Amino acid sequence: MRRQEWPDGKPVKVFVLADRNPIHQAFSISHLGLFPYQLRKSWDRLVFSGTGEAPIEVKTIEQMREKVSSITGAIGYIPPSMIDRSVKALKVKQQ
Amino acid sequence: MNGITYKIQSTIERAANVLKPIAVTLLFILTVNCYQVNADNKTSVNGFISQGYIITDDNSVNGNSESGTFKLTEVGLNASKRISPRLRIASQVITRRVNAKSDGDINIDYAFIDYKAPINQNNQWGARLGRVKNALGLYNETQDVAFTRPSIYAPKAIYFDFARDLQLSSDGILFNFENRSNIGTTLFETGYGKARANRATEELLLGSNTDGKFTGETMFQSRLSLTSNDERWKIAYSRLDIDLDFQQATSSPFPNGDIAIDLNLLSAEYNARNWVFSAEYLRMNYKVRFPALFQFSLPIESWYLQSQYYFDPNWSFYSRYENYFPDKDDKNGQRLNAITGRPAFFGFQKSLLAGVKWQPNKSWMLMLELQQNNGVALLNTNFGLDPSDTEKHWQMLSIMLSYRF
Repeated sequence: MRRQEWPDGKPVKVFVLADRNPIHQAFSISHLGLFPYQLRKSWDRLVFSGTGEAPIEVKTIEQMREKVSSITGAIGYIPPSMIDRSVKALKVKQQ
Repeated sequence: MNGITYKIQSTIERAANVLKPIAVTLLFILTVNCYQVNADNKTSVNGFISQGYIITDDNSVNGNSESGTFKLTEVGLNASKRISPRLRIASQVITRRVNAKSDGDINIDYAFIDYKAPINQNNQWGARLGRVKNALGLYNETQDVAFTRPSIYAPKAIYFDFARDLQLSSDGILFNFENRSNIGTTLFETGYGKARANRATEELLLGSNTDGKFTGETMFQSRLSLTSNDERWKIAYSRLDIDLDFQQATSSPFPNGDIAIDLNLLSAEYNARNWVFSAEYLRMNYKVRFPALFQFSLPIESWYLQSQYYFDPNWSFYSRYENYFPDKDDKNGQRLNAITGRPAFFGFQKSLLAGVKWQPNKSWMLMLELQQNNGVALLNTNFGLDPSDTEKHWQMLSIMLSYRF
């Protein structure tokens, strides 16, 4: 979440679903190990301290795929069944 | 609401004198550009408005709270623009109404250029130049934003209402170095700048609006924090070192002298699935030196323990036990009583509060809390309390509605 740029220098653009979306909740708990309220708290602090921005919110998982596939440097999450040739799946390395 | 709007409008004219030219320019550029590049999601404009209501059974908070007061309003607007992945400019203005002389003033909370660059895979550094928020404790950077606070008020025993401007931000540079390792993320921030001392500070520190002024107002700040990789744990140590030089004027009752404030703060936070536990402990030495007249030193000590329980996405409950001692060597106020004749309970404040927070969606929030107090040390900061009209034990009920965009 903290990385601002990709290795090639392009800005990272993060897309998420709404806080209460079950997919968002499942993703943040199982993949980030964070509770949605923690994410919201740190985004609010970024926004109101002027040091960063909150991720861009999309309404549906289809919209997520469309944004991630069409915008340079975009990253988001979708269920494995939704992955097609327009997006690239990333493996999350467990520390 | 009309009163508030009028107050804001009437103070906009005064604001031109208050706003520093650089910040005006910065905010202007940000706001204009927002319309040009919004499609690219590069600039964001955000704001908040919070309106509170306070009622106390005894004693006065923000005006005549014994019959209820609405003098608890906070409004803020910020803009931030990512110029490149490494460079960002941002500014925020805030106006408040809390029954103080500064009510309605439009203050620049921050206005800075922020640079951040990776050093290698695990390290990055950055620098922030301009009016920067002081790196202090768990809440300082966003303490005026209800949505980022644990309760209606940031813990006042640590985030003082008096010395507010001194604590909030300073004009200078703030460096940061971040390292990620197996233990977690270590962040070290350190900076130097000009403290925000003004007429209000003089009044607070020197008792009355005296002739003469602060000439050198320097601040050295640093914070070292460690956050575990799962972001469950966070611990931090922050330090502010403020030096205010006072220069005598012809009719000044004070000779040349200086005031040194040395603030040390330990912070810890633990995030569980539905719980957040936080604690902070502060020691602040307040040294006044007017060699030709007098000198003294006051060791302030304060701390709190706090818990927040997230019942579901809409509802949460919180509680806090807070202690404040303006003189840690006189915790029961006996010495204060012996020397000044003021009641001993002017020398401490212990507060227990419990509250509930309702957040039906991302934009709206409603909080209600009840605070049980023993002592009035946090009310007595301007020495304006009338002992014959002040109670030792008192209760306060506060409600706050807040909107953000």
